[in-house]
Amino acid sequence: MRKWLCITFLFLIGHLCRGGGFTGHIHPGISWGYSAKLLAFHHYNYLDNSIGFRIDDQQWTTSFTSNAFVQGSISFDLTRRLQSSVLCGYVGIAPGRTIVPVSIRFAFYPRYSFEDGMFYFVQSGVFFRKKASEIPSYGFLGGTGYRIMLASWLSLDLHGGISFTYDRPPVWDPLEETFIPKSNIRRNDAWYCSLNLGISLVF
Amino acid sequence: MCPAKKIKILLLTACVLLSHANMNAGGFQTGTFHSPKGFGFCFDHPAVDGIINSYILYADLYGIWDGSKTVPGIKLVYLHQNRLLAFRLPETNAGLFIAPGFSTGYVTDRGKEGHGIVTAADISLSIRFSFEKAFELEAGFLLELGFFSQYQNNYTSTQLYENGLRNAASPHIKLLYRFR
Repeated sequence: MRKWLCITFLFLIGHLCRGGGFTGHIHPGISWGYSAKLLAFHHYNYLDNSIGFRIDDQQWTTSFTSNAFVQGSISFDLTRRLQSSVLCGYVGIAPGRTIVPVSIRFAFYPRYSFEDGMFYFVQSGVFFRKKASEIPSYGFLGGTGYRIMLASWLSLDLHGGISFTYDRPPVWDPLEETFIPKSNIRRNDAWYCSLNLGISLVF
Repeated sequence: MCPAKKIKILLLTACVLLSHANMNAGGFQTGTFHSPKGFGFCFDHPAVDGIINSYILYADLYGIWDGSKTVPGIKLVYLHQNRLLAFRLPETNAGLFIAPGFSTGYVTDRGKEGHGIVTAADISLSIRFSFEKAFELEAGFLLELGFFSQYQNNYTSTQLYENGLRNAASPHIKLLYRFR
């Protein structure tokens, strides 16, 4: 986790400090959309006080749940075909689980970034919680989209992608019908795979 | 009145309103409506220069975001947009619009259990951009002042529609494609 935090913030600082090598155009933007969680994996290992045994459970589940996301972004033109962005917003990843992601995105435009056409992107970042006591998580997103230049000062991006998000949700004890205390949990890993469909307005 | 009948009446109202739109005056635009209030479709018909009749049909998502409710509502909004100010940006004609109108729907409201019928008078303030490509973008705010009626336990209660006032601070964006 610390390694991901360091990598992400080094990229952020690198963007801000970068002197030459990019065309100098900065584009603020906003994006929003729909996220459908399709697949989940969890691996829990905890001590159940009621029965006095250690429970180790790992399984894949296919469960469809709907979420949404809204993010603001600042994009930098590295070259006329390559753009990097810093994104921050509010995203739902699972029922009752929301995150505040800080992500870096790299997008490649086979045609120029200021023309209509397809683009492809990869994104990764650190996901913070609303409660400061909760440990941040991380995730990856990759996808494609189509840029429509509404005017020279505004573009409309339609994009879709697949995201993988790591989480440590509270562990539910079905026998006691309560959450397992954190002191009893030895391992708590969850991965969510979601389909994201979104719209962006980039100035 | 059962919910299915209420929705049928609402859709019939939408059809009656849309059938009165004069399709021959100035083309029309259709698109999508995006807001923290909900998502849906919109249809705009310019009547004369500076006047646009707007119709929005959207799913009201109050309570859906935080999981407290599972069934969205449905709402129809009509706005008679009047241009206050026109200005020009690169490749873009823009205008500031103010619009009185009304809305009706079968939705939920803050602090009330279950769905009910809402009828409200609206006022909207928005900025609209018309691009040289056949797209239009509108961003604005909508205030709804009206009543929320429910039929429960053999009596009808009518109260102030609270979400209409609280959602006035929630912006909306319309993305439209211009035909003709």
